[in-house]
Amino acid sequence: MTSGFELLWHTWDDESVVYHTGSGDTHLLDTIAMSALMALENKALTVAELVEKVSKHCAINPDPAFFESITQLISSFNRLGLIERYSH
Amino acid sequence: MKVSELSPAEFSKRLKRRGIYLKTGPFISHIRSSIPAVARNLSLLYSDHQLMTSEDFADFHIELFRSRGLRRWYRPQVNFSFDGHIPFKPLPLAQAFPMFEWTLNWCIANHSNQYLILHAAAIEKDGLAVILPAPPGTGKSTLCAGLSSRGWRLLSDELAILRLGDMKLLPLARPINLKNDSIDIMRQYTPDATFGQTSHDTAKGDVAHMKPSTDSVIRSDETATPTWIIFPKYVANENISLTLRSKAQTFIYAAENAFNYSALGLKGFQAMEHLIDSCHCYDFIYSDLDQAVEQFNSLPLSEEITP
Amino acid sequence: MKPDCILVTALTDPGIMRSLNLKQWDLLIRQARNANLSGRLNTLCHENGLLEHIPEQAINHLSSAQILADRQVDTIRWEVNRIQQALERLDVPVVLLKGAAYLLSGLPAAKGRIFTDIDLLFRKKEIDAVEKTLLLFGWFPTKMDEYDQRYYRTWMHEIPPLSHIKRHSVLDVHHAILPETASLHPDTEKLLENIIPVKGFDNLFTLSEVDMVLHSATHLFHDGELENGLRDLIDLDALLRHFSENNPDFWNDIVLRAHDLELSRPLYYAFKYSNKLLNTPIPKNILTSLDQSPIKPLAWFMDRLFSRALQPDHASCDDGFTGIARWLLYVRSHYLRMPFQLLLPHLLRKAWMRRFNEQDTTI
Repeated sequence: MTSGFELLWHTWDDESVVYHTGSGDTHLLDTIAMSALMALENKALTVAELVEKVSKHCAINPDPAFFESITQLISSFNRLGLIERYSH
Repeated sequence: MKVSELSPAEFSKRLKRRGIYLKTGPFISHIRSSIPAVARNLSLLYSDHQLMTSEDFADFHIELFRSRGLRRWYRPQVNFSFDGHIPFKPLPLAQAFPMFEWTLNWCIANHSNQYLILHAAAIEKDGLAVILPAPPGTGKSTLCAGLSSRGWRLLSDELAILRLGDMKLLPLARPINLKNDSIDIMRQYTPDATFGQTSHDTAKGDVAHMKPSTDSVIRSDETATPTWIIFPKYVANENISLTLRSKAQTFIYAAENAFNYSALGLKGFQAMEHLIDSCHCYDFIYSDLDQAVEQFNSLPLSEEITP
Repeated sequence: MKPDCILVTALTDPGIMRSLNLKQWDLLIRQARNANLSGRLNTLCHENGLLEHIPEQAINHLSSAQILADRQVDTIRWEVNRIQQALERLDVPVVLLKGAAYLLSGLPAAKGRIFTDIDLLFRKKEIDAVEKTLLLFGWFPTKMDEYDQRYYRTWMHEIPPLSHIKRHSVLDVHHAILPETASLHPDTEKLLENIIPVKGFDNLFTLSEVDMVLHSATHLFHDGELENGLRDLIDLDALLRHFSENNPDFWNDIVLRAHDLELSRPLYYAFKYSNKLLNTPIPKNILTSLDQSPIKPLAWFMDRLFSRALQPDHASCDDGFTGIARWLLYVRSHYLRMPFQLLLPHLLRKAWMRRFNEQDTTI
């Protein structure tokens, strides 16, 4: 997570909206994106760790395509300023 | 005192000299103009509205005036001034009244962050309100005008104003802005209603305003509880249908099209969260106004649709 | 000049807001709105426990302004975070100026303040790298014609403002606090020697306390066009009160530092007008020791100009001379910026372009 800022959620059925207190932007997330962001909010993870967590949580086979979609998800989270590289 | 208590001549004299203090819902606007079309449309379409005195607090001080200089003779124009500042370029004089309407919307939308202001129409019956978002061209205004002539109270045709805190809808009850074909459709559907002059060739095509019902103007201090958010769409010859809609997507649409969602920050998110959570969200397709009215008179109060 | 600008009275003596009638509130809200001080006014009402004495209509406008100010605080914090993240790799100190500095240092001057842009200071030799890096992260130079571009690059102490392509935030990137052509030459190196780190950040700084005040004074009285004159004077008042509160040496320090940086004249004006309009408690001996008053007739004339231009930009505060006063100060700000032989062609061109643009847009 980008430090010093918070996320606020609301989930309806299999979709969520999430508000970022820094950018002030609100994003629409599906189950996978939601599960990934929640996992990262909890603690910093490597891509492999994140793939494992999300695939378990959403009961999806962690094949290469899934790995690729998580990688893309991470880069869009990063672009939106929701997360940053953990370096400490 | 009501606007209608003044003769048109007296009204236009006041408007020109010291200006009038017009109450529309929670706002009082101090308006000055010497442009005859503004005076005529105001006294016609706002005849049931209250006039306050110059001793009252005005939320907005606005003036519409003709451009000076040579151009006034061959290409007359109208300017809008907000308390001495001129935020917009002038428009052709023939669009003076539509300009008044949208600049008043601008005043409200830009200076009222104590409210969450959605770009949507809103109507009420028995204390429960329907919010009608939807992009232009979907028949939102037509539906709103139709319903308001068949027993629903008009809250607003353009700005749904939600009070932060209790999330009640506040009425504005101003003239309904009709475009192009809707103008004739409503003239036929509600022959008793009063219509202002049609302005041609505005950015949105032809524009005319329909006077709000006396009842909705008189009750413009009476709030309503938002209960349904319905995205209407007029599709010719299509069967009527009301279908559940994703709440999260409704949230995002309403937020992106709100006037001040992002200015409110966290407060905006919380308000919208509360609104979406407490409303039933539907898509609505109609091709006939009478059928649409019938459907609205039996809107479901739980998340199921009666066939 | 009209004696009764109700906004200045309310800002200096908030207690009077207890007894205003609706008509007076109407005027106060309008003046505050035009002067960009509604949020500030709201802060004062809260701090002085006045809310129960204020009519609902006025509270609506004050809370509306406060909500906007609150959101701006988040926005500025976020932009600063983004700037810092972008410039991390450069290993140059990022120095915040003005509003963003007040906010990030938690100074009372930031309370309820409206921010327009973020001001940053770097060494001149670092500017190029900074600009290129910011570009990579989405901050592009705002559109301007070639003349304006050249004007900025050649004569100004900052590069053309940068605007973020998605978020539209505006950055003013400075390499000095006055243009190189200006008559005064405060040395950027001296300012950078005394910068202080912002808590919680690795590479973020503000100017020292006295330098912060000197910069604010310089911006208002030697550089700016006073479009936010009263707002900037409120900043100065808040900074002076806060810094002098627990530091008996503050007044002497700032006078010495002003001398060192060649900024005694703007500091003199800052003291004089914040005291005159906002009752800032400036020790008498400090004001006399600074004696930078220009020769008598000029002093009288400047006083007429400043006294008007520092009022809220609202018709109710103007007299017949206000427009001319603002215009003369505008010309003066350019005159102080550049040698006279450059000034006249520049102003003529500006006037011509304005006229030209007007024609262009309305036909």
